[in-house]
Amino acid sequence: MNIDAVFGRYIAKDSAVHRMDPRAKLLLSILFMVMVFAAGSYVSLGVAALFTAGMFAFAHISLRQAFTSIAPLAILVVFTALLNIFFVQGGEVYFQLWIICISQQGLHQALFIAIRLTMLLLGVSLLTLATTTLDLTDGFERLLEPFKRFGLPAHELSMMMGIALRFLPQFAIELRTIYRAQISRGANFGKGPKGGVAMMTSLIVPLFTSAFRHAETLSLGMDARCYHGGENRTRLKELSFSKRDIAGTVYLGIGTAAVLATDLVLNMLL
Amino acid sequence: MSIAFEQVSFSYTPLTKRQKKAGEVQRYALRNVSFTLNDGEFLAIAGHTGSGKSTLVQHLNGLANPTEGRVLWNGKDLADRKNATCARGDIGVVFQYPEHQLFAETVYEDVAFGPRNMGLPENEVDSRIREALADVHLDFDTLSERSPFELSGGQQRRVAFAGVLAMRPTTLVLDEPVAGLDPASRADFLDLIKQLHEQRNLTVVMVSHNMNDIALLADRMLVMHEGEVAFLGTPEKIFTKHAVELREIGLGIPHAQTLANQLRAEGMPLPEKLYLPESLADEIARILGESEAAQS
Repeated sequence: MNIDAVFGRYIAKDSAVHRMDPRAKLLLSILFMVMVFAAGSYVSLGVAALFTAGMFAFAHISLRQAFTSIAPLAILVVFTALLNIFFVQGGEVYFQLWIICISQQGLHQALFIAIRLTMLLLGVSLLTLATTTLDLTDGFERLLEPFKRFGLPAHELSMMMGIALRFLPQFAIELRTIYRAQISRGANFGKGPKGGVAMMTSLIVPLFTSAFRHAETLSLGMDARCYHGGENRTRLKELSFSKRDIAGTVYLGIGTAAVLATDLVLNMLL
Repeated sequence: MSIAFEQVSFSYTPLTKRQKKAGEVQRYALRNVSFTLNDGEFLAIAGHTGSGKSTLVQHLNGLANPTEGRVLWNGKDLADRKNATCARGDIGVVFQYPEHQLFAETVYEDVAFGPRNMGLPENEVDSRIREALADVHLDFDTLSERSPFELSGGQQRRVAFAGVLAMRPTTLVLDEPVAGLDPASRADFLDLIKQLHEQRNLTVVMVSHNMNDIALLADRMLVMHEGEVAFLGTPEKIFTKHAVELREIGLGIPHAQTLANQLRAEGMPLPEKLYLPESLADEIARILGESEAAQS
């Protein structure tokens, strides 16, 4: 129940990355994914890692903070790696028991994918680590705006996203309080399967009721402030692209080119 | 049963050895707190927001463990998980807004949660539910099969309260039990707590902002300030001797006491003791009567 370890919780700093336009950051995270997926060997993956580390340096966020923020998702990486170990076959066989077979190719693939996935998570977490939810939803809405003419409720979608993100830490705190209260009533989490279900209900039902309570209060508050959706709304802060955004694009562009070039050179040499 | 705090300090972010070497200063939520909770007493804990009251409450049944020092329950260290699990049946904690923790389909099932977790047989569970609901003045026959979510806010809080009482604790810890209630329910609820304390002889620890409630109910009070114990003593002593300091740390003193202190400062011969509105009125009437008799 460590609330500090919520994935990608915003870390307030005054850095070039923090001050970038959220639209640029959203689009650049796609370019970042392209860069990571373009890497086809350990060497080019290393090049991509250098550029990833550079991004964190520009954002003034330490790698330790970054790893703490993706720690809850480590299970995802481990699970994917295990799948690859067991299902990818080829090369020398190291271990065989009934249908389980661990081969050279499988281990190689597992390691490669684990590194790639970790890097992806790190890069994407930087987006939320260095962007406030308000900026993020704003950028999201503006990016979706062109699709409005096809009937896409851009404003509503981004509003929903913003509310969801806003309430995550709130629910984490409430879950902790409920957990403490039920523990005080002798609840023993993780004792037997049947007991386990009853225990989980004692956490989840109060959490849901609290979500409904918050939703009602929130909608009342929005009504009271005459909220009527996105039509004709003006903004306090207009988004605008700046040199920083161009610099960011160039940086990741060079990164992607470097990754591709590394693989190309390696292919020619071998 | 007795709970003893021995120089308890607690930090939410204990420093690592490396940080200590680098000379970083530890930040404490509780600092060097020592006191003993006596059997059968009514102890009030007062303090400003962020003074460490809630952290203190979590130490009373082992939900949080001291960074330094010990909390002993009948001589056993609560930092030991086994001891803490045993202690939770004996020390009932009612958190702030306990009605937010209701979850079961019926009132009956919700109150049964605690006793069942203690591994009691069904007939014992049943009798405890009846007793606990009676204790909080809820009618078993009309309410036990209803959903707790259909009830009024005040009733929900009583159900949550019964859920803790059904474990038959000897010590009851209440974290701002009347927060957010209307005046009538407030008075009812405080009355209920008083009854439990007097009739069942429960040891009660009550966290409260309200000095009037404390003056009315508590045998002793503990005033927290910035994680440390500022004062520990009878409300009478603290409200008469430390009124100025209390105001400095952002707490008041009871209304009747404020008036008594002002009257005394103006020269009325009021003895220094704890006043409730009724006893102060009697005292003033007596003094005025005497002075009238002297004049005539």
